[in-house]
Amino acid sequence: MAGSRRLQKELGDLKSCGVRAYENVECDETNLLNWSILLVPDKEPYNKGAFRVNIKFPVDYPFKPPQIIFATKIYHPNIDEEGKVCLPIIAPENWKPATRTEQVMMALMSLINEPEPSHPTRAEIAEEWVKDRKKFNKVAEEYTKKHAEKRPE
Amino acid sequence: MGVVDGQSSQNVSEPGAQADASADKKEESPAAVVPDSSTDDFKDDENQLQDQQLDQIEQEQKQLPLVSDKIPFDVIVMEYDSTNGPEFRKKAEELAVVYSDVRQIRGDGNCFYRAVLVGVTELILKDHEEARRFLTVCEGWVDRLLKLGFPDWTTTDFCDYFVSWVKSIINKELKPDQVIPGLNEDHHCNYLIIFLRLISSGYLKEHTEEYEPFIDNGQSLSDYCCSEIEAMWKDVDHLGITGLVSALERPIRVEYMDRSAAPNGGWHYDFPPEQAEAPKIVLLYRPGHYDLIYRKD
Repeated sequence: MAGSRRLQKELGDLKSCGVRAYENVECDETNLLNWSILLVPDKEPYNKGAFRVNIKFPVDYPFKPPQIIFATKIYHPNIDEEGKVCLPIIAPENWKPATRTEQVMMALMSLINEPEPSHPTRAEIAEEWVKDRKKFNKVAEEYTKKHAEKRPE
Repeated sequence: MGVVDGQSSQNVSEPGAQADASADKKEESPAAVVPDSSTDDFKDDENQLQDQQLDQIEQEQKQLPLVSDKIPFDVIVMEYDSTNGPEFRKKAEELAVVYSDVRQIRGDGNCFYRAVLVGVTELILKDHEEARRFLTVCEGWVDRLLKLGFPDWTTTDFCDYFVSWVKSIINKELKPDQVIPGLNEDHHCNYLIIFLRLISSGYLKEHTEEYEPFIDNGQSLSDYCCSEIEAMWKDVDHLGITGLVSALERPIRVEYMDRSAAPNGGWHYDFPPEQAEAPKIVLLYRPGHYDLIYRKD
């Protein structure tokens, strides 16, 4: 498969990218199409835990985009209860085959840190984020403490 | 110049283009910061339905080959009769006087790029000198794209793939009779198509000042290239055609079934315009779709 050479390289690059927020990548090398990444956000209200996301690459990668699913529950306007995230860079209609997974992760981290309330998947959380940031931060932090994984040392 | 006219950023409607509609939808209503969740549910259903339709269209498309064998042009003529398209029937009959064969290309949003790819490939298979020229042009694109700021190794990867494929044709590592059938391998062909998309975008970006005025609704040329050319499965328009033929330095002719679609209101159009001799690669345009056609000997 022509795409596996690319996935192999992308995997290696991400593991050695030196960005603490998304460098913890796990992948069973017999199946390069499924990765698991432990996200370690630095900003409140998500900086008290770590979040596991699964990245699933289609067989015709890089011509179709990868999918990202949060395995860890997160209180966020753009991530729904099933862990689906609305990220424009990997929307099928926007996807560009030259986009690297590292760029996708950068986009994901910036969405986590700066929610986009105009395109929410959870309208009630978006409303709270817009109208009562203090309350949002408090709930999100408690939610993080309750559901998130331990941050790596 | 008349290459790109008012039609430039109009997307033509073939099945693959339906993704555009959903893209447009997402851009809507940025003012509504906190939408009502009931409309959101409705939107979800709508998206789901659309996803299903897109899947269905994709499955239907996959029943056809990416590139058909050469078949007699009469097939096109017989698609129309006095009930479903008397005008098209007449035009098809006229074309049948000049053109003998057609290769039908799958309508998946890449048909223009794929048709040109097949046309160019047939030329380099026949003509060694043309093949050397083509190789030099393609090799030159790696640096040109990187200079424009395309992401480094993913771009290089696509370029290397294309260039080594051309080399393998030239040095006969690939058997000549296997080259065209090979273009029906999905993943392989996607790698070749994306190269054509990148250089098409690259050429337009190298000439931003010249082409930016042709883009509607105040979009920058760079944004246009990102969303309409570099994205896989997006239909081409006149700007994209201009970009690709200029990037490849290889003219093409497009025959139109419908005169209103031609840039000059004529029946055919050469890109770039006013060629001294008729281009060897000829595409047939029917609303929303391109096929490759062949002149009678």
